[in-house]
Amino acid sequence: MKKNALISVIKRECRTLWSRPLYLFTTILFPLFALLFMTTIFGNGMIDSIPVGIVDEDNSAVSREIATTCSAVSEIKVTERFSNTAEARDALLSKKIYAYLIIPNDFQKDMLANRDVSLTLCYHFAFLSVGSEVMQGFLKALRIIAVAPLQQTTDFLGIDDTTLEAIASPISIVAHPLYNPSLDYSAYLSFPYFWVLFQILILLNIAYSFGKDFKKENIRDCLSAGNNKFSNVVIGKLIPYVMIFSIIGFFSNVVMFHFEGYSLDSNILVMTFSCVLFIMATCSIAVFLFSLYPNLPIIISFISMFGSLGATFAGVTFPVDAMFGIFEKFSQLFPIRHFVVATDYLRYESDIAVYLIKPLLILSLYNLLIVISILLFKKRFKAFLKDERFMQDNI
Amino acid sequence: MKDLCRIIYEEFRAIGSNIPILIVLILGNIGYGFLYNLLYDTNVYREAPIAVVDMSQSDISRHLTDYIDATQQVKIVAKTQNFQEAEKMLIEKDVIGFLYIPSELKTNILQGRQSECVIYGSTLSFLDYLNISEAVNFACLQINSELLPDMIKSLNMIDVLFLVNGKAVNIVTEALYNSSEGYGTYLIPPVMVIIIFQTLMICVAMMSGHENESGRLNSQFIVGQRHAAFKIVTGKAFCYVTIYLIFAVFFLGFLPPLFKLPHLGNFFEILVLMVPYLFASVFFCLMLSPLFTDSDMPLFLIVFMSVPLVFLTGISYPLELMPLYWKVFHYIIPTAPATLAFVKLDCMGGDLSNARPEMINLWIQCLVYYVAAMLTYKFKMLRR
Repeated sequence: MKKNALISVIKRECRTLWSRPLYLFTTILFPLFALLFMTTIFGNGMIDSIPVGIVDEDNSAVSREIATTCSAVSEIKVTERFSNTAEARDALLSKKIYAYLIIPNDFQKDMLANRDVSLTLCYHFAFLSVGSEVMQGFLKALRIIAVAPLQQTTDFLGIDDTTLEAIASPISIVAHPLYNPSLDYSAYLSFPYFWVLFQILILLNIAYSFGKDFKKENIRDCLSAGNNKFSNVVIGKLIPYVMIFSIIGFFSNVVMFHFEGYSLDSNILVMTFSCVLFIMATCSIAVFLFSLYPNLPIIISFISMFGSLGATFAGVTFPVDAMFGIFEKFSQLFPIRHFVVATDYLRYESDIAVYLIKPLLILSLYNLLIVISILLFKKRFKAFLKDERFMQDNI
Repeated sequence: MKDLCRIIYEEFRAIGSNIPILIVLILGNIGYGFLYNLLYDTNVYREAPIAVVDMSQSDISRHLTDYIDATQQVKIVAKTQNFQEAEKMLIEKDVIGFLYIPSELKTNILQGRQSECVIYGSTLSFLDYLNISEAVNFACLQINSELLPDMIKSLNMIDVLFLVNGKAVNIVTEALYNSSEGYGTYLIPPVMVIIIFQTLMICVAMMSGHENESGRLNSQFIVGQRHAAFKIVTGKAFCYVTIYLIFAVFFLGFLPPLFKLPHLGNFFEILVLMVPYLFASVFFCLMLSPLFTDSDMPLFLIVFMSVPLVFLTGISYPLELMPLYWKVFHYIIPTAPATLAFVKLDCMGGDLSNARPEMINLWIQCLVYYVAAMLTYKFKMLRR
């Protein structure tokens, strides 16, 4: 009887999902849109050929040489030349360029006379990510330019370029960006942010589904399908969603790790298993939040806020450790935080079983919230169920 | 005019008696406004933990690590001579990266050869990588300038001692419009503009959903009269824009000085920007109103769009590098040009002439969405 009741709730939920095109959008098409968006928005993922300008107050052969050297760096592209700083600042304000280099008057003359010379690089930091890339690009070019005066002298003294480099920079720094060597934005953001968007949809779908069925006019039908047991209703309602979302999760993994070629050190099935745990955890938290106050119009606003905060507490762009301590602790309540930790390991490290235990265990523990939710539902609808039984007995 | 006034009155009344909308309006706006500012109030990510694998154990390597430790960006939490140990710390996320100093560092320098130190930095967060990279490069620049005389002496090239006086080109860098180089000061101003759009959309959409669900407009009396669609759309827009002008002052006038965000804009110019932005947003949502079949459903679309909207503004990833088909969305969703224009006015201290393309875009949106919203309501009323 119990098994049949569970199956009848599942069937009922499937019928509901099938009956309204809205559900098709929110459960299937929106997640697929999120996948499409996150895998394509960054183009090729590399910040390169960013438009920059040169304020050439010197207008000499050396200043032209500087412009050419800067253009040779892949990150930046010299698209504008200005005769004064005011024009450059105006172009920066109008977002025609993201940075400019000032070559002062008499630069060539002073450099040849071995006098102190300087170049000023102004870069846009209201757009932090672009600004830092542009700065790195400029500095790459300027490193070559900076030793140009020394080179003239050492050439004269017959010192070769290797020795010059050793004199100018006895310690050189080689950078090894781990996990994402080309600093590709797609590889960096697409995967975690797809899941941030997906968790918002999971939370809202579940809240919406429970909200619609737990309205007074619908709950009778819903409960009777579940043999008047909230455990049947809750689990039966969740099963179709978990299955649909898991299929989408698997599909997104195939797209990202197989077709897009994002790095994955573990197996795609292990990754999908983590995704399923995350989906279940997110469903559980949605049911739990709804059970705290089962009034859809009000609780859905709160749940949507919870989902939006997931983008911050995932800790992908701004580390949660850098926030105030209380927020760092608060972030632990969000399944997305543990999911990101687990998938970082799965994506970039091998032999990580020991590190996966904690995040995956926490994700599994979220399912206990289902039990609490069932108890809360029972308590909240106790009076209603009593009335129902009374009515049935009298009929 | 009388009809218009009554529509505005009915709309205000409907908003005032709808608890979920009031929650979004008051708690949503104020809550989001304060919460996001508090979340990023630390603003600058400093003292990121790193390790140093010092195989050299020389005075030079100690000097280099002292310089690194003295930077604001990182803090050395472990020094070791074991590469695997540092690697393990990185995997366990105790550090965000480590610097490898080779054993031959000092010997090389004494013999006039260059030594390579290697940064192994995690890119799980680009800010982490930026921190370790900036700190090590800065320390390296410092120590290199100190080592220059020794290098020249070791090479026995007294003839070139004048190089010590630093005749290389001096590079001065200046980060504009975000002097603290903080993450909060970069992210929060655009986010404030996006929150305005989102909560406004949610309120308009919830109200439209409520009307669609009940099959009655808030101003049902106007149905069947001449220019009803024009009056309804204008009345509703006036009502929401009036409310949101107050919230705009809260988000863009009150919060930035409170949380020390860049605030260089002229109040009047920001207001001039807000007018087409708010109208375009309301018309945009009214145009989409038939999609909102009930009052809870709008949240799906609107909350789900929060992250894409941030990307589409072009603040976090340059618009120039986005594929054309996504760039189109930047021009058709009101929040994208408005966010960009706001950053230009308030964070960069520009004037309206700098934000002209965005202003033109917003006014065009206003016009197009106004007409589209009126047509939507006309069809809605005809259907009924």
